[in-house]
Amino acid sequence: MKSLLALLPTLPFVQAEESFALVKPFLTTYCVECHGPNKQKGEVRLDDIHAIDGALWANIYDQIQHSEMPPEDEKQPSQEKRALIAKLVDQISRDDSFSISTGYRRLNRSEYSNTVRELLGLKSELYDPAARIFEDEIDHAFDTNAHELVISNELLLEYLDSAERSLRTALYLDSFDPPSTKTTSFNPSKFKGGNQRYTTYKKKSVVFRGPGTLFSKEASQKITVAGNYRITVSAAGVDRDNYPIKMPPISGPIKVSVGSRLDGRIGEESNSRHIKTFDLKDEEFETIEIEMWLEKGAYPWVRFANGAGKPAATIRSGIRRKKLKPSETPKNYRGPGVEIASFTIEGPLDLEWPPATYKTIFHTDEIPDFDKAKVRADLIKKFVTRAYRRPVKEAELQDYQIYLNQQHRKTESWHEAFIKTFAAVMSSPDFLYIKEPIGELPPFALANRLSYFLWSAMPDLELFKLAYTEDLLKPEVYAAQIDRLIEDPRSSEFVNRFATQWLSLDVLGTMRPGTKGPYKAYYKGRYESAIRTETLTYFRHILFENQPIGDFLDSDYTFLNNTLAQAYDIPFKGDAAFKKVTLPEDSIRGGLLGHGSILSLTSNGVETLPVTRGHWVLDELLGIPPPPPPEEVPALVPDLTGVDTPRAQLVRHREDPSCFECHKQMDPIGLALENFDVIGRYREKYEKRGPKIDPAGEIKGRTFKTLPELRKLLRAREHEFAISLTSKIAEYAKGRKLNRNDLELVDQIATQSKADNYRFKSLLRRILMSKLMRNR
Amino acid sequence: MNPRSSPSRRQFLKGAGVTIALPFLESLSAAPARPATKRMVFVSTGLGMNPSTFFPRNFGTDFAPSPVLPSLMKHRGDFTVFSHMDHPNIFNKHRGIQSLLNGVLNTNAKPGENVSVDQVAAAHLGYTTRFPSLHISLGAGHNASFTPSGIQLRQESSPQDLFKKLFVRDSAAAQKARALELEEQGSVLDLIRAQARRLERSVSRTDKEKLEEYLTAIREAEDRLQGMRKWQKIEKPKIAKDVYDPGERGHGSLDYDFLGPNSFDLIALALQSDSSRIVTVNFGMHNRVIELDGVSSGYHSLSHHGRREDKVRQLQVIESFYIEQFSRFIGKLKSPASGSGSLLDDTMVFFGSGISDASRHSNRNLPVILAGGGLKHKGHFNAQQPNGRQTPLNNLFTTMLQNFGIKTKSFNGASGDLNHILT
Repeated sequence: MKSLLALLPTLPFVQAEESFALVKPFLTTYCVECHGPNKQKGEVRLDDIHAIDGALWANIYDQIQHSEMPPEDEKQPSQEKRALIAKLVDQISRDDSFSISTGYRRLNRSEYSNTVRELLGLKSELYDPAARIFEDEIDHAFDTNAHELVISNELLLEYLDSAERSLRTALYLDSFDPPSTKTTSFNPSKFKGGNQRYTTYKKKSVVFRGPGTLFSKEASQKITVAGNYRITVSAAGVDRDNYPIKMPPISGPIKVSVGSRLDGRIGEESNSRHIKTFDLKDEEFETIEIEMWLEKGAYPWVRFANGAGKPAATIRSGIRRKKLKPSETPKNYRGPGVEIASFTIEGPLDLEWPPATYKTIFHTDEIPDFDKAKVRADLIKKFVTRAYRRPVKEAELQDYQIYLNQQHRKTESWHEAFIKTFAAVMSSPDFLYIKEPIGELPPFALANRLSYFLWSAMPDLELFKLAYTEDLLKPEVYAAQIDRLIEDPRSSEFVNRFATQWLSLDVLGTMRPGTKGPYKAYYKGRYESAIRTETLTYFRHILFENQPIGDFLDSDYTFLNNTLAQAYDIPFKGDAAFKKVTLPEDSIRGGLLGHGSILSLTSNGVETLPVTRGHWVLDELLGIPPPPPPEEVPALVPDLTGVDTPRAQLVRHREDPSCFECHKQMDPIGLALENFDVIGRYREKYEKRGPKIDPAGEIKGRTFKTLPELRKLLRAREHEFAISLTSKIAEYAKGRKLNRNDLELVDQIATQSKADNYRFKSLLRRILMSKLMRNR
Repeated sequence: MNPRSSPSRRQFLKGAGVTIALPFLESLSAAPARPATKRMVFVSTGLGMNPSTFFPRNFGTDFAPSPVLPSLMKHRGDFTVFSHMDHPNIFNKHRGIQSLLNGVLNTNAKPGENVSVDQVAAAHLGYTTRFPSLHISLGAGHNASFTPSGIQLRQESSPQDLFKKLFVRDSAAAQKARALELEEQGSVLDLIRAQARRLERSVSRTDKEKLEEYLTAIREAEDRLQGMRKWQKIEKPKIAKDVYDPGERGHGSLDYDFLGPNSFDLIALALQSDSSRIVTVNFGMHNRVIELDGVSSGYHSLSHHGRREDKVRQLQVIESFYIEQFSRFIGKLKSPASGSGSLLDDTMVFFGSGISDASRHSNRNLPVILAGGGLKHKGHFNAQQPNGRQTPLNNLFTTMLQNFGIKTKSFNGASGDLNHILT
């Protein structure tokens, strides 16, 4: 202790590294037992001093300064020691070089996929460059968090593998002669796939009556060049009334879907997508025409879109209900089907030559003359510069030159050697990582920050040019770029990825309700997709129409389609397309708390969870998460047989003083949402005969009787909400937790935003113009 | 590290983690020749086992079976049912199923700290067998296997694919292409190492750690490639059609009657042919209707039975099925004799779940059974400690690792072992 005190006079000059040396033994003595490798109370761990981020340092400061930790019944430091350590921790928490985690950030899965597409000029079609890459494992952070984005040997080998696959997909030509447009007919009676039990092969046609897709195996070999192809099909709906009972489709036309597929290697899933569905006439052949993009090796398929999913089950149930003779077996099923009489593929149409991928990768309008050494050197330099997303030094290129020559000696093909060499470039740390130096970001780092934030992809040519000339650092140029990037369609990456993670929309689908039982509506009319779309459209609207962010908390509008309007019981004219709908006064909807997505993802598919809903509002929405519960508290035992309501259970639970403080904040919010069921529909009661659900409650000393009243109380906390949202956006952009300096900037931005009612796009621009964005 | 000394837990974790390359903990395998070829199989369920129908009422070797256990009783003496065992640091409800095999809060673990028991054993063996470990999923869902570098492993979900992977030879052309690919990936690693080294000179302290992580990945990837190359040159074992017919029968992901027996038969064959010695099989967590007679509601809905009789009954059908599959598998391992004893004598077969009573999301008092492995089995064993606490499940895993031939005193924070009970 003496030696510590002796240092006090020089304290202002102590560097953070030295502060570490003093703080570390303190943490080890007083904290690590409960917050270390063996136990992580409150999910906090302090054993690795370098892993502690700025936000946690600030938290440690509060705990020590206010004598909240260690707990009373544990060993306590002396007052002097406490004061000294608090001071040092404060200093660390303000020092950028120590409160900021690493500036090396691995591209996450989406960023990798987008970047490879941009780099190689691959269309966003069937092939996904990240399909074989392990999922990023991110805990309590955005998927841009540098600290969380680790790498391992398994992942590295997948990068090696995926890089080569992507390059082979992009540089696919067997010959450099431009191909001509051809028309090829395929005999439908040779189609494969589907369920053979429910397929009837005729001499020159095929009838398919069951689920699954049919296709010609030869087609994939005919597609040797990526491009647009025209598919012409002659098809009819047939055999609608072969049984005394109705078989699907019960009403309306028989429909056929057309799509495309690209097979993976053996044992891997193939990528398939549905392109369009057509209505057919009964017993009369019609010609369908559709254009689609097909990569080399991809092929088109057809599917009976509205037939019986399980014909065998339908037949068996018909026999059971004595509607069908027992002699009817599923084996010779002859229910409704789609008959295809001819199938042709024409293409490539409007051929681009050389293919776009070649133009992008080699940065040229013609197939380069690989035999010239200077051309080759130039190709490497251009590609590496784009892949590294910064200017490169000659020394960095030498290894690749040597490697290219080695590969050429092996294969005697420069084309092949380039595939191998560029695959190596795409496995290097410079490609896989974004690197940001401490302090103000230099032009190329800033260009990368901006484009990865808004587009989740590498900068485009215009940004690169402005970084190269350093004009990007000029405020007016930078401001213009911000607007350009926001208005570009690629900013939907920010909308979808940020909103999904901020609001935990990615939880949807992990705890689905049962396909039978009270919530089966979840499986009708693409309900899950609809509730997600509602929230994303709402976010997009508030951002792009520059609406006040308070609308997230309370508003008189939302976005609905026919599925949602029906579930929400709101009058609606329209189809599956989403439209803005103004809600009646005192509607239970309005603001995120009325969104089916939020209400479903805070339930577990079986029961609503008032505590989880309350916690979600405090944590995700207001940014004031209550601490995790003490570990010893047993979970509530649900009783579906009796009359023990969730409210009664929670009231009993709160009688425990250790639970009271947090639950009095969470429970009233969660209980006010109990009028929404597991999938977000309105309900008046839990059980038909049970009592009415009472949403009334009290938060922060203000009482409310109904949910709309609670929403007004929440909207009054707009400033708190602005701080929370700004922090989250900054975290997402910076790829790290915020430290004290950052939080001060956040406060400034929130305060500036008050004047214009916290309008979203203006707020976002303010963040982008501030040091939050321009500094690491 | 002195290979003769027993490494401490910290050293062990370090060894398993990112800081030491994958020559697979050679320093930890002190004995040059293991006395027997040991194997481990971990069977787990995604939504626990209803405690009131899982745990027998009385303890000891003569315990009376609980409602779901009868099918296992023909193996009495070959297994132990444990009561009062769990992971003391795991309280995270559903996510607890992903902590079953490591006892670690994965959200807070740094790479290398949440290695699971099966992967410690797999890393120990490395490419001694063609596959360091196999992972099978039934009904989809997360598994609980984390590699020494913190990656959550992928699982096979189709018996057909598993059969291909284990026993179907690739074409000569595919084999040649694969060999070349492995060779070239090695040279790419050399190249990118040079690039990373160049960066190393110019980075700050915090960035250095990230770069070190990358360099470690390169080093370990090289070892992995070496292992794969070795097996590329060796033919896969052949399986006669009358032993196992992969067939072409289609099946849904919920057709447990088909998936269960087929998957376990393949696992038995994988062990017999020494294709792998470490296997995990996971019956997943989901809310779909499992295709078993007597089950008509979603699995997750059933686990929240709220004590309704009809739901409890359906849940019991599912859980009895799990035990039947486990029992059938033990029977398989017993039948073919390998040298002096049966395969079961060398194979520790674990059954358990990271959640106990799913109706209230409890992670306390996990359902645990251990069979085989040449251990002394105790019928139904009460693992409650004299101080009233439950025994950490990692104590059991410590004993399993030791029995496997790994010198460790404590796996992931275990407070001891169960050698005094089982050995």
